[in-house]
Amino acid sequence: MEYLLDLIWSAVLLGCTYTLVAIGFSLFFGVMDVVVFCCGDIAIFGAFSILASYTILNSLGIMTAWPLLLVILLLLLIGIIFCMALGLLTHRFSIKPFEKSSALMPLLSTIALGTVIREVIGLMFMPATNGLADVVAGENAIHVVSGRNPQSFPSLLSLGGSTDTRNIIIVAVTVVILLLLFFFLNKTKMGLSMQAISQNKELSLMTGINVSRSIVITFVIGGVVLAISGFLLGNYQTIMSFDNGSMFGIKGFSAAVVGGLRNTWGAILGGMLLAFVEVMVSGYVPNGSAYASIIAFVVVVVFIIFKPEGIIGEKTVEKV
Amino acid sequence: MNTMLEIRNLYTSYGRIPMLMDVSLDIAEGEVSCVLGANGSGKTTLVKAILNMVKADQGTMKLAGVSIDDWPTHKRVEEGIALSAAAVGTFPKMTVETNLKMGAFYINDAKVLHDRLENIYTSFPVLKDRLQQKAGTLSGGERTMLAIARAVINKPKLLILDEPSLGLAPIMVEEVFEIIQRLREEKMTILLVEQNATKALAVASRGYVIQKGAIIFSGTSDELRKSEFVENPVM
Amino acid sequence: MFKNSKWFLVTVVALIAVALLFTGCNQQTGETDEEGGNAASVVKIGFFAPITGGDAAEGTAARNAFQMAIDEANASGEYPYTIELIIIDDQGTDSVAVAGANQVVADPDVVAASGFWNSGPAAAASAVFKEAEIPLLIWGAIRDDLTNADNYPYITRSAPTASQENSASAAVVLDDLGYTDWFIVSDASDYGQGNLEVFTKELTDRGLTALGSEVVQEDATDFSAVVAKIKNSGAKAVYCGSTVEIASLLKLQLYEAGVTDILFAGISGMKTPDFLKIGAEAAEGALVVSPGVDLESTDAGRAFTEAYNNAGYSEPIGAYTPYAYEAALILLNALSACGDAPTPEAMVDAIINSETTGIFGTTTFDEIGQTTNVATYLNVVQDGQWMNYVNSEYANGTRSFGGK
Repeated sequence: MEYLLDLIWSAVLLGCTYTLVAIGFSLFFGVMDVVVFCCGDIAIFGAFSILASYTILNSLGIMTAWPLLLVILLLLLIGIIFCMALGLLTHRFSIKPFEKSSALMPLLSTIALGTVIREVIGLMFMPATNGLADVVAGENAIHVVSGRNPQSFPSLLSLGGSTDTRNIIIVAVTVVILLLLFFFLNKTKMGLSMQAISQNKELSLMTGINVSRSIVITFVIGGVVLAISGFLLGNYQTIMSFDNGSMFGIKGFSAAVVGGLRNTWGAILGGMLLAFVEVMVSGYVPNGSAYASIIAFVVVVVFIIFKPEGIIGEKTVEKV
Repeated sequence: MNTMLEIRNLYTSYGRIPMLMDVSLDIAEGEVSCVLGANGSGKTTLVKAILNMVKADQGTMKLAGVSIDDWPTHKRVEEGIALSAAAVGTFPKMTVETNLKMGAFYINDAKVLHDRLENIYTSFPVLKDRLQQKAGTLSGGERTMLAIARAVINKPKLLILDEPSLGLAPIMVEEVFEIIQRLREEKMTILLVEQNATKALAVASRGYVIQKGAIIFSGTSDELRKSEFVENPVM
Repeated sequence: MFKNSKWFLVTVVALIAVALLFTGCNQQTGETDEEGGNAASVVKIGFFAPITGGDAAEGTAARNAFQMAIDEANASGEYPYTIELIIIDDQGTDSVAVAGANQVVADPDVVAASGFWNSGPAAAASAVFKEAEIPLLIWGAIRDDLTNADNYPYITRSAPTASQENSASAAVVLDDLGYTDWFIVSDASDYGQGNLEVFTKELTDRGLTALGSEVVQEDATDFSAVVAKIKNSGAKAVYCGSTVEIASLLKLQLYEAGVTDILFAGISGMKTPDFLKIGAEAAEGALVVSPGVDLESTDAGRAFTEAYNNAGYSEPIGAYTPYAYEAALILLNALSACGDAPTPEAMVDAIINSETTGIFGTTTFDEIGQTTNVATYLNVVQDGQWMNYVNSEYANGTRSFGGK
């Protein structure tokens, strides 16, 4: 029984990390009808920008001088700014140029962009971080060694306590983000317009929704969600590698597909389902870890073939 | 009589294929004008060009005397051009009420919004019963009602109705034209785009006939009724 | 936009698969003959290592050491030609390694190659070199069958095999420390599979069976289910036959789950400074076998460390860094034996017949091209540092590994 509970708890945590990326995918897909494949890399980019800022703040001695909560918020804000900027750049250079062409073009270009983001992290993380730390902290600068090696992410969320504290905070933050997102999407004009665009783009134009502005705002919101997911993942995993984004992105994408791509709430279920399948297969099938990801992908393929509208998607999408 | 919408020498194209050629229209304030044309004659392109959903290659447009050529779609909607096209559908996963509220996107005053909604419920009682239902589950007639209501809620300067009778049962067609009749009595400026010439001319005071992207005839409803174009089975 | 979303998604998934194949295929070419010059004045050697990706720490340090040896040789004036390196970043990926190998063998100036930290890429590229009849000296991949009668004389190896490494480690953890309740974790790579096989054999030879085993994906980062399984199995010791990325995360997640009263033993692939990034407390007590001898314990070792650090490389020395250096020495030694115009044919013979004294003693090759110079020693993490097991508090009984 304790074994099962351990597994369930693991699955919930893993599911939280998948869910936020999956929501990134479904927000973008909903509003623009394109798969922005570098979501995972944007999130990891956010995590690395937080890591870099941490190193610089640490050089300045701020980590010890300021209250932890304030530092966390500051770091999160920096991560959000970076992810938002990267999201807007993604839109400007990887999606907008292909507005008029097939949806496969932005897919391919964002896959390519993902590679670029990974390489930029790998190449730039060390020189940029160390350079900045030198400028701001001079002799006290703390240096990062090699950008391509695994980096240790500061375990800020344990708040000095145990990993249990951290895990509970991860779940709690995820829930709060989801609630805020729910409120935003359903109760604000901006959120409603995003949903409207996702449901009927032509009608949205006719309704007077500024679609191009909504797309920009979607990238801003997506950036916020991805930055937070990168931050949570960093805290959860403790060790981050510059190329984590590709696997993280594929898992998020799969979760979004299972959830029905356009459906934000499906993304949550999809993320959780994927995590549960992986963890349970690893936990109960002898030698199952080797097959966990594969079985998770089989679930995705089954969904694509038999229920392409997703886990809670409605089939009755009227089109004349 | 003031002109609400003035279109001069409008050209549009889809890729290299010309869609509209030298279209000029005048829609008088407080009147129902209609554009008649067969399938593929360029009616819908014209409607979309008025909202800048299709870019004009050449030509000018004025709304109540003000040039709107540089206005993006959302600005034209905000400034009072409302387009109702049942064929475009609804926001299927939102309730009927939310659909209506999306129509009133630019109404920020809660009181005004409430009054407008109440008005809509009186004029469209069929929608009132369906408020909490997902729009995707509405019948064809109900969807048309919703499309019109969504456009009317803004009290637009110009209401464009794109084929409101399309695909409806005769009894529903009657109902739709009754609503148009009522709006006409309220002195709303309406541009009615229709295939059903008889019905359209019954409510309109002026009309244009469009064929292969060009206006080939214009005149009052009486003139149109007598013309060869309306009797012509090509229509 | 897509009327049939099903086929759109199927296309997307197919494209992802293709894209993943291709994104793994970028390669990095190091020194190329930019000076152009006279072809006879240049001799090229291919060098393969995982310079990017999760194994980058080992790969980069190995490249540095190899480069250092070649630079020293060029500076010495002993060779009547310039020795150039074609550095291939194999990213620890078979397909990239093969593409790089093809690139290297296609260059007419290439006389020999050295490389590989990962067994899969080494095996895949070996076929290319054997086919091209260009000698390949492996410095870091340890799967047993990489050197074999079939590949001889083209493929040789200067590092110990997985069996040789594991039997040294098994002698300590199974015989000296006497652990009997094992759980084996390995990864799905050739390296992981090789270790799984060899360690299982060590257990079987002593009449033991593992309580459980798990093979994890190479890019996995979440091992919570494996940790739960280990906890549930009642194992007193974990053997991790994988590389640093997986090993460090597994050790960390065991620690976070409170599974600390357990021995964590592993293999050379995890003995890099990156393992310590999980923090001193989490890393404490990890026991690994390393090839060679402790650099700090011999003059040659200390000299190498000093030379490496003086050369200004920022990447710290890893377990196989000295082997990469030694591999360069072996190739240089063979080049000396080939006169003014070395050819791949001459190099094949020169390598298998070579006798090179390097950091760990004298290397010669046996009848399948495997080094006869086998040395291993154990390392343990104590207070956030790797240290020689014999000097640690674990060896003298001050600390214990747990699970006892």
